[in-house]
Amino acid sequence: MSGFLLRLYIAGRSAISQRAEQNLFQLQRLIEPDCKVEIIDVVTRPELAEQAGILATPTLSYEHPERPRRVIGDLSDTKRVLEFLGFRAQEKDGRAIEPKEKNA
Amino acid sequence: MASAAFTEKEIRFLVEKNADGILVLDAEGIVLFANPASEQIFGRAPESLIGSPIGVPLVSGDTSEIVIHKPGGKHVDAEIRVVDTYWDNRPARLASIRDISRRKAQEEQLRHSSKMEAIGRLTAGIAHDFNNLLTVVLGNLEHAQRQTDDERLAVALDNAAHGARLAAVLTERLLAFARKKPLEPKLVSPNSIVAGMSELLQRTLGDTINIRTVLAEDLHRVEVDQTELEAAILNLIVNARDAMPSGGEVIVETANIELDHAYAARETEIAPGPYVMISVTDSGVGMSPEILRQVFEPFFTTKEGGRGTGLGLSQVYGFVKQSGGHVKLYSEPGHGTIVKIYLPKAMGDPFSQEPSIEQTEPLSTGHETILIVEDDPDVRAYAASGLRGLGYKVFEAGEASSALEIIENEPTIQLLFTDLGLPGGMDGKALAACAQSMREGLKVLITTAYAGSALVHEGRLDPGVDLLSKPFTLGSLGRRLREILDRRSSRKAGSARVLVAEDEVLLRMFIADSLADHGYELEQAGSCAEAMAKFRALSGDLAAAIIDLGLPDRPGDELVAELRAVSPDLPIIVTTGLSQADVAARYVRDRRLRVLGKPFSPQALVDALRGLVV
Ligand SMILES: Nc1ncnc2c1ncn2[C@@H]1O[C@H](COP(=O)(O)OP(=O)(O)O)[C@@H](O)[C@H]1O
Ligand SMILES: [Mg+2]
Repeated sequence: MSGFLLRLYIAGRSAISQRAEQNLFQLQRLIEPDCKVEIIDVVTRPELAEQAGILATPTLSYEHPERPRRVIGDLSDTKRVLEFLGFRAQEKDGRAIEPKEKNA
Repeated sequence: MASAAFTEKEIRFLVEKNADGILVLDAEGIVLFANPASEQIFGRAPESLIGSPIGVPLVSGDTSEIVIHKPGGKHVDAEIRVVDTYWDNRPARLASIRDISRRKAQEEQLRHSSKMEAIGRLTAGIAHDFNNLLTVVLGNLEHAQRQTDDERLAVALDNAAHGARLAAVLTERLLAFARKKPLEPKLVSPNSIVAGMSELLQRTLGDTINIRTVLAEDLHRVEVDQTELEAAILNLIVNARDAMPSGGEVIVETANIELDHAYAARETEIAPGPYVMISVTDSGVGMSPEILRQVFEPFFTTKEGGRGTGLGLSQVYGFVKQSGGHVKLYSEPGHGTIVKIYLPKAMGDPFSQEPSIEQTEPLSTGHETILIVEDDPDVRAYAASGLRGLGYKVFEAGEASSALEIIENEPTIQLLFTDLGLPGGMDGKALAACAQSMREGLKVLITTAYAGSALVHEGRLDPGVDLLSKPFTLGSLGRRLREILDRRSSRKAGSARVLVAEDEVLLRMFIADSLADHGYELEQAGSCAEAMAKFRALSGDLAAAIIDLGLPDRPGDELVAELRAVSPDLPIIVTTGLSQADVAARYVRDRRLRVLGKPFSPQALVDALRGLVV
């Protein structure tokens, strides 16, 4: 499958929000090339946060049809975030690794 | 994965009783349990949290900051700490969440005030140097204006001087923001200031905006610079007007407020105690938090097309801080804004209900005999009766010849106070010369509406002649007479020597130029050490000293103190570009010292010297 979507919910342009955004882009680079990301500011789009039942920010939401997953925090521990979401990091030579679903 | 130092039962107990919000989450980030304290932070009942997919807290390091979203859109800054545990025999995470919004707000405030501090220092530095240069520019322009007959050149010089004066106004505003503007604090009643401005305020607001004033009874008085307080109120009113383009209402309110320790602890840089609050409330467009954070910065404006200067609230901020007070802004976008100024209650003002008496200094009195020569009977009568009221013995004359007759017959006359323009062929200056030749040591004070020219003889003022410009008040006349009569009469003829301590070379040259025109001889020094050496070498022969407070080697006030220690009567003029509020106040007891703010004109300098009778 392709076209993964990682959605990051943040609150305003705070230092934490910016840190989380940077870490998100870092994750995007590490995951395979066509992973999409979306950033939602709950201050300007409160209705979207409401719909998704966001209780805290930053929240990273992996919109998987069968098994959606969520992480809260600034995403600075990239390795654990990838692991939890079920991705493996790119290898050092830059070759993309097929994303692999982590067993439930 | 597990840290099974506690049994599950023990953990349940600790969690129930914990003051922090505690959630237990399963491996997917679904809430399994929420303790009672979590209701506070999440704004939701703990039961309703159970089953919510909040997410897995992946925290590197001990703690991490997150924001909790309460129902209804409120945000709480929180700190999260996570430990692995077991719940119902399955691996789980225990997340403790603590509300840190108060600490964050304080940190933010501290950051903000240190930023304002840094901007203030930068601004003050620039404004200070700029002021020195402007003094030179303005002074030289004035010289040039006086010396040219060329009309077109005169127009160009006028324009240049106009521009330089606008620049001086700008530096003044910057100094106000940087809390370095020389202030003249006086005991004032905020209620009478607001009441006195009401017409101006209504005119500023225009027809579509209503103004309502709610003035507290028994309001304390405050000790502030009245002009600056008025400017601050006007700045707030102008902002309120601009925020309500289609009309509305402005409320100006005063109240006595006791700021308690809790408030002082919450707000940085404010001491607890009694304050007077002056607030201006509008029903205008309001401000977003982003804008609110920046409004005090100089030149920050959202007003387009040159309508805003961005210096209004910086004046308010600088003035209030410099006066020991505090400004607070509350704003709701779309609803309005309230600005509250807190000024400390004046010390020694326990009787706040006492009607506000104009605090003027007492008139200087005397018992000496004075001859008034003045052709205008009204002016003469005013001066004569006034001086008699102050205790002087007064003789009157309408022109020179009768004046000379009186002097001949009345040996007690110590001072001749004469108008410059007199009928009958002998003017005030000639009368003075004649009278002084008849009576050695007779003191003379000449008054005229046209200061300067006729009294200056080949560029020098005749020795022993003092000048008072018209119109004068009884207060200024009385003060002047006292100064002249108290002056030691043993003064050498010839030019007076003045010591100038100023590190800016151009400014020193400018001062030398301005004073040379008036018959002063200058000794120049660029530092405290140099000034002290010159002072020792000249000591008895020095008529006055002009000292800049900002000298390179040591603060100028140390020099002042040293000079004072040796010669308590030496007239001293302290010049300052960065005058603290208390510069003038600091020297208020020193009657032989004047403080002059930069930029100053040659005339102001000469007047200050004359005021000290040099
Ligand atoms: N009462 C108010 N209502 C809404 N916005 C205000 C109000 N007072 C100040 N502001 C905002 O703060 C900015 C700075 O104000 P100020 O320092 O007085 O400068 P200026 O009025 O020249 O812009 C304004 O441009 C405006 O955006
Ligand atoms: Mg303004």
